[in-house]
This record gives sequence, C-alpha cells and structure tokens, in this order.
Amino acid sequence: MNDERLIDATLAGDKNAFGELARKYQDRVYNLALPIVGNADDALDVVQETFLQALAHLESFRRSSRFYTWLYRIAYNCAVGALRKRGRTTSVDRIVEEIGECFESPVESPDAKSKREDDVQALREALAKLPEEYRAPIVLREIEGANYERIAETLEIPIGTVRSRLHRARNALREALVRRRNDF
Amino acid sequence: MKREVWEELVDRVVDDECTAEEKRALYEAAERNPEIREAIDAALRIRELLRKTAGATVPPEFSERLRLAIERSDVWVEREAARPTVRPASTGAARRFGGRRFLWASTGAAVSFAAVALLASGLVDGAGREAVQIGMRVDKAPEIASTAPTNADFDAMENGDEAARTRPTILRRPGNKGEAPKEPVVATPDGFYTRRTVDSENAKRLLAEFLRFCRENDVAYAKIDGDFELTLRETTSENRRAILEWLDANARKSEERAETNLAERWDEADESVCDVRVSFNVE
Repeated sequence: MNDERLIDATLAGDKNAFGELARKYQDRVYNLALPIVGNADDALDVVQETFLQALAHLESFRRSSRFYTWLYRIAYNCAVGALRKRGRTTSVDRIVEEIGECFESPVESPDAKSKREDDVQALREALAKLPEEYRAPIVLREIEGANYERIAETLEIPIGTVRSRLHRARNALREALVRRRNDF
Repeated sequence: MKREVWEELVDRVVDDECTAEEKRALYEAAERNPEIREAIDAALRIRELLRKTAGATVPPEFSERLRLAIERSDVWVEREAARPTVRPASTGAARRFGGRRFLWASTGAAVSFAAVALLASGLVDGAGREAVQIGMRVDKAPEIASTAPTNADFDAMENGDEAARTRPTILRRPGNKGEAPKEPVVATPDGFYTRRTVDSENAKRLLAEFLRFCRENDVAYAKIDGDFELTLRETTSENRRAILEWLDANARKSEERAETNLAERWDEADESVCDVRVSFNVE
C-alpha cells in the first residue's frame, strides 16, 4: 500500500496502517536522528517521538509534499529538541562510540575495509565535534539528500546560511580526514 | 578563478545547486588547478563516507515498542471522539455519570449481566479532595443469565435492602455509601462500568502506577479530554486477571468480589472477544 493510502487509512482509524508507515520510515528517521543527538537511546526516543507527533498532526499534512519530506522535518525538530533538552552534555567520545556501534559494516576486502573504517572513524569524530548548526545541515544534505531549499525550510535559516554552514562543515570534515591520513 | 569563488562553487556543484555553465567552468578550472580537483574529490568522498555510515537500523525490539506507542496514542481516541457515529455510546454515558454514581449497562435481551460500583465512603465529600474513578467496561461480554438492575434496584441497595444486595449477579459491598444514579440507567449493547474512588494523595499515585502497570502488561491506554481511559483491547485473560489483581491490591478491598467474579467470567468466555475499557476520572 502506498503512503497516501496508508495515511487515509490512518485517518480513518486504522492503527496498523500507521504502524506500516512507521516500519517503512523508522530506519531513515533513525539515521537522521543518530548523528544529531549522538547516541542510540536518544535517537530511538526521537524516532518514537517523531512518529507520535506525526500521528497527532497527520490531519495537517498537506499532500503537496511527500510524506517523508514532512516527516523528516518533524524528526529534525524532535532531534534538535532532544539535543537541547539534554543540554549538550554528552561527550564527543560517547557520541563516536555510540554512533559507531549502530552502524553495520558492509562486506568488503580487509584492506579496503580497514581504510574505510579509518576514514569513517575520522568522519564520525569530526561529525561529533561539529557544532549543532553545522552538523544539522550536513546530515540533512548528505544523509537525507535534502536540497538547499529544503534544508533552509527545515532549519528555518536563509539559503545563504545553508551554503556557508555546509561549506564550513565540509571543511571541518575534510580536515579531519587529512589529519587522520597524516597520522599514519 | 579566485579561491573564494571556486571554494563556494565546489559546494554548489557537488550539491547540484548550480547552473550548467557554472559546473562546466568549475571542471575546466579543476583541470588547471589540482587544488580545485582535490576539493571536489574530498567533498564527494565525504558524501560517500557519510552515506555509508547511514546504514544504521533500529534494534529489532524497537519496532514493537514503536508499534505499542502508536497503538496507545491518545490520538486514536480523540479522533474517535470527533466522530459521533464511531464513539461508543457507553463512553459518553460513563462521562455523564459523574461523582459517586454507578453506570450500569447490559448487553440487551440476549446478553445481560450486572456489576456494581463500589465507592469508598467519605472520600469525595472532604474539602479539597480529589477523586480518581476507575470504570471498567466489557464490550463483548459473555452471556450470563441475570437480570439487569434498575434504578429502583440501586435505590433499594442504597437504602440497605438486603434482597437487592444479595441478588446473584449484583455483588455489593455491605455498607456502601454510594449514590444511585439520578439519570436513567443507560443500557448499552456492550457492557457495564464499575467505579472506584480514592482520595487525592492516592489518586495520583494510583493513576501513575496503573499506567505503568498497563505498560508493563502490554495494555493499550489513551487519554480523552481530562479523563484517562485505558483500553484493554483483546488483551489476554492472564493480563486481565493481572490487572484485576493489581486493582484489588491497590484499590478498595470491597471491589474484590465484583472484579474477581468478572475475571472468572472472562475466563469462561472466549478471551479474544473481550474488550475492556478502564477510565480514570480526575475531578
């Protein structure tokens, strides 16, 4: 069943229909939330909160956009809300450790895997160290594939600011990769 | 091409937020300037790595947690309440019966049974006191040969009529000070209510504990307006019994007979058809 029908069924009172939507998108929302909040437990809370918020406001969903576009804005707000609520007290090490635990490694050769893991580790560390205002745009852009307009809309910042923050975020991540290679 | 220009352009090109002319100009510049080429490659590499790390999946048990959270959301009941034709008559009826009154409903001519609401005396008439009422309804009740009580029966019970009190299907705590409903008893096709009242300090604790208990026992609950309604849909006989045991342990001892009796009836019936609703009314 497509999203439209699942939404209609949900609005008609079908709990299973919304459950199906949740199952369909839970991993995507999780992958959006995880780098922002930095740990699995909080990210799961964000996923749950996102779907409950979406369910509560489903009537206000205008079908001019795709359901997930609407959903990820909710997810982002929930994630940032969780981060602020927590007071940013989580250590970078914990973020790196927890994010790392959540990702599965694809099958590849040992050498390639080792190099990729080095790079990914460097990237995770750099991502965890990024200030929230830089982390959010890069996650939305690179993981969600959102364009500048959608990022601007989601973060409620001008497109020019999206560009500058993406640029700074990339610079920070690139420098982290360069530093890691220089260390070896 | 100046550094600040190509640096800005690299991002837009990588993000496909540029014109065809800008893209062509950047790649032409990159052929002449290795720094530009490296910047483009680095941006693409970062994207590749970030997307590779985006393969996290929620733990298997989380899906069930999410499903339950969705099922228990207040929204379903609120939406149901917004649709007059869908909302169960007994829910509205239950709300109309405030304070220390009973709500009785029977399943109609073929199916009828009795229940009695037992109220603790002196708990709601003290100044500044707050009450929690727990109503329990069985939607598709098992057939029980009994006679539904009338207002006159309630009045008789309130007046200490032993004959009314000892009718087989009316389980009544001796000495109960509750009032009979002033309104006509509302018959619904799906069950009955019983109620309990506790004082203000216990109310919050009981409510919190009951909600936690229901979560632990995989029982859905929802909230309507200012009332808490816990819907025990298609829950197992074991869960229902556990809930009643919990109520017995935490609410009035006097309700034990009625609730235990109800539990026994559930056990006799096809458990899959039972649909129980519990309401908390904080006044």
